[in-house]
Amino acid sequence: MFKLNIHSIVDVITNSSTVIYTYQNGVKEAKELLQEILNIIGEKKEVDDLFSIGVFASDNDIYTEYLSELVEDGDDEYPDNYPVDGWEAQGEYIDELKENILKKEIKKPKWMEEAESKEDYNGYTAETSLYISPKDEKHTLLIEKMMSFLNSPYHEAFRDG
Amino acid sequence: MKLLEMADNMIKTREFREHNYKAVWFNGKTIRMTIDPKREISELEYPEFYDIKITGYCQGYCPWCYMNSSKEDYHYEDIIDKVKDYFGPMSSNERPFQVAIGGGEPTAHPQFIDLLSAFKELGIEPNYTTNGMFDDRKILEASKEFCGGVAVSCHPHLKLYWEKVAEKYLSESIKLNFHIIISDVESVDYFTMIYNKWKDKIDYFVLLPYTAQGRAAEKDIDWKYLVDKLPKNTQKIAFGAGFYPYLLRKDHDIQVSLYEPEIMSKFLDLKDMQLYPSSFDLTPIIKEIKCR
Repeated sequence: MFKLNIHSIVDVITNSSTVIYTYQNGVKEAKELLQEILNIIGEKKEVDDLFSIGVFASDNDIYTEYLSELVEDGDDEYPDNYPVDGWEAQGEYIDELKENILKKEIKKPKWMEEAESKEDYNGYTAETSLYISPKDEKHTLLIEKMMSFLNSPYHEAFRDG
Repeated sequence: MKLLEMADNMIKTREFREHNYKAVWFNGKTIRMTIDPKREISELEYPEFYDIKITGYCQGYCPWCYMNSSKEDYHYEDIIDKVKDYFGPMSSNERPFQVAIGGGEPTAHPQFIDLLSAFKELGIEPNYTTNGMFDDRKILEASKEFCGGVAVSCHPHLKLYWEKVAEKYLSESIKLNFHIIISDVESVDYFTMIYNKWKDKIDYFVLLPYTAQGRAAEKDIDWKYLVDKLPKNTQKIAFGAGFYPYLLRKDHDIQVSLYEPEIMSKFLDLKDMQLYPSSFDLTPIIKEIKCR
């Protein structure tokens, strides 16, 4: 899984100061961007054919802390196979869950959505990121290169590629 | 994969790790990312976009003009050299993705087309705002060739001009935004009327809060009425920075990503090359451009 921590998205700026654009979660724009890169490198396939893209909390603690609260409250929504102890195992559980949701093997559980929309004491909800997963192992290198490209202002990964 | 050469003009990236910022620009869109999602992006030393004032001249005589522009004011000189001297020494990472050229009425400036071309040569996408009164075929063609987008200011008393020009830009497939000033009930109703008429043709309706600056007198903004009247689907609506405090309130369900205004942008007045936080905050910024 690859991760993009999207902060904000703006379109063409024609105004005399900051413009605050409305947007949903960045999936549409991220797909457009990845498609643009695919077009440039001559890849004929569509983004959706190659990758699964979804939105999750940037930090797994958002989920694990929420689940801890469910455990304490004895809530029924608590998943049976969730490791009660060990933060490493809990993190791996969340990562696996994200992968399976991206692959559409399971639906996003309600408790995950609740954890993401829960407000902290400042009234802010969890930071979210875009997660991208190749549908086929053979496209892992491609997404690795695309992510390197996006992560470098000097495009070094593609210079030597 | 020799992507760099092909990608150079299509996808650009900037990164300032010290500000927790990276951004990708493509097709006029900018996607900003945090390097550490737990921290905010801090104010950029090298802005992502600039608002550039090239003239004080304008024939529109809008009573609410916050720049106090008029026919008696003048076009600034040597704007091409000034722009090249200012942005030329910057590295590609430091250069902004785009600029918004304004005034006054920027299209009335005799060097306007050369300026669009100069920005394009620097690898910076020029956009601009017009009141539509300086209707010229060459400007239309240059806009198509060089600009990422154009905004038309939808002032009620200039309707005959901006509607005509908007149709011309659209016929040339130029990306077009509408700027509408929002204050009282009447202004919101005016926006609603324009939105309903043009919503299928226009990229974004940028709502700008009335600003009591220049010759604009004090006036309240009826935020509640605006929220009530906004279309259910707000995907074609954008807000000027002055709406930031309103958007922070929790009395609406408009989905926006909020961040401190002006941390990504600055206002550059080509009259004296003075930099300001924005055209609404004219506190001079002392900035040294590093020589290479």
